[in-house]
Amino acid sequence: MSEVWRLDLGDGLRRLSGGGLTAREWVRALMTRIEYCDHMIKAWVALDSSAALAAAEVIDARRAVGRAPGPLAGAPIGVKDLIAVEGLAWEAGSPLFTGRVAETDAPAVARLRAQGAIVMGKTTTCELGSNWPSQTRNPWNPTHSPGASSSGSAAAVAAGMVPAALGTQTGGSILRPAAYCGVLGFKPTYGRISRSGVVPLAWSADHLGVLSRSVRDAAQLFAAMAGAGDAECAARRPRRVLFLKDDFLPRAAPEVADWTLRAVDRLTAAGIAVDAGRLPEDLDSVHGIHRVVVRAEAAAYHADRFQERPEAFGPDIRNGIVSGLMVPATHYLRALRLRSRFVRRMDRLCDRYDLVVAPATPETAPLAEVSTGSPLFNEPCSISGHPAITLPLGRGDNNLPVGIQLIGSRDRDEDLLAAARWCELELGWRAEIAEMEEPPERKRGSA
Amino acid sequence: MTEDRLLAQTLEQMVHVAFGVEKSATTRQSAEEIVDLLRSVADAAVDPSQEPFVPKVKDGRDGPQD
Repeated sequence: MSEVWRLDLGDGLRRLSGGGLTAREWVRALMTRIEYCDHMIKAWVALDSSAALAAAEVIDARRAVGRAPGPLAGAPIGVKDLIAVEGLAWEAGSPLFTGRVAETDAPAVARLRAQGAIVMGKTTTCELGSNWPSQTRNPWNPTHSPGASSSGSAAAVAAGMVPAALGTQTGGSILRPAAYCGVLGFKPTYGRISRSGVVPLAWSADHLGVLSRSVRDAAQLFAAMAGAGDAECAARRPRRVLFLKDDFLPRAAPEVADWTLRAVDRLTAAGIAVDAGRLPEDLDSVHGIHRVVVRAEAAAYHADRFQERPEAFGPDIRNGIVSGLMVPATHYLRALRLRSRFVRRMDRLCDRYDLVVAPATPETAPLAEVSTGSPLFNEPCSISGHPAITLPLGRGDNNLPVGIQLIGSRDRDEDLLAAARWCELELGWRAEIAEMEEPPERKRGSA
Repeated sequence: MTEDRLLAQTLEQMVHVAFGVEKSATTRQSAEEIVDLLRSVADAAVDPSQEPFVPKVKDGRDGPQD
């Protein structure tokens, strides 16, 4: 029972329904794991142990009389602090919202709870969904960043503090932390999951998604939040794959490029037809479109608060807002015209293949004090709305994970998940738990 | 003075006047950065009849944001 915290969502739910585990035992095991390692990782901003235990006891009692509330009955999850959870802090990593408590659940959270999910607490977000480093550290190497801005969710899942967590992405805030922390990150098609009750950064590019340790778990949470989808997620071997080699590899660190090439070789060795190609627009152009749109929208959303309390905005979000205020309307509209063309061309590209692959990030996680890394490789799908998944390939220098990005056709998220599941099962691109050794001085102190 | 530098100064002055943002090293940096991005958008060839992108959500699945 001491290893219960290692269970992923699917395995844990199976044990619950088989009677080999109670929801209370699962929640308590995770609380012990959080107590053991969160002082090193700092992935949580609010924990509600008593409410989580109370919810678990209700579910156990209902299960005992054959009335478990749904397919997620007893599933413990974390929720990024940009997303509202009734009765818990909703501060979005910003002093603007210090002390704020959400009065209702975001609809995505409400749907999960209606199926029996248990919210363990709120995970760290970088300030207002920006890229400024949060307090959270990478469980694989705590001197390095977990990425941004779903840093707490990615780190908590990687360290085994919770089997799955919700995140949001406007640039690369699900895919990048997932890659840096060696877990799965899933950003669905734009709009498949409601963003109501989520603090916006840029409304036309904000997405809500999942960080987990298996594709099946991501599919189950997605199906619950989207109100549709294939929760079973049967694996399906992709037949034709496009490798976005020319745009991404020249910009990737040698280590990331090596891992990516080896991953593509494995697809080829599995008998899959892999074409090498490129994005339908230059990556620099996509970056320009993304930044102009996101900054203009972020400035529009925060303008009033920024004028009232500029000192309450940290350097990264402040820079984004100030530069967004400088975007002329003509340039914003021009960026939106270019974006339409890019989306249309991406649709045509993705529809010709079962899967499009690229490295998930330009490099492995940078040092925590330096940066949270670059979202450049994730911006194309954030601005086009296409679904994308990061899967872990392995760990390289400094014990830091390397990920691959899988992209699918819009509104065919289930097909993307099925192909990702095949890669996970057949190619071994799966998440592992960071074991987390306590620092020697703490061990001595606690002896 | 280069064209880009002049544009950056103009934009910085614009937010100073229109939004009351005080000029500083940070606002100058923001201005220089956004000029590069605006240039990349302005230089890209685009058909003026192309409709600007409007986010659409199939079947009204998404709710309004906060």
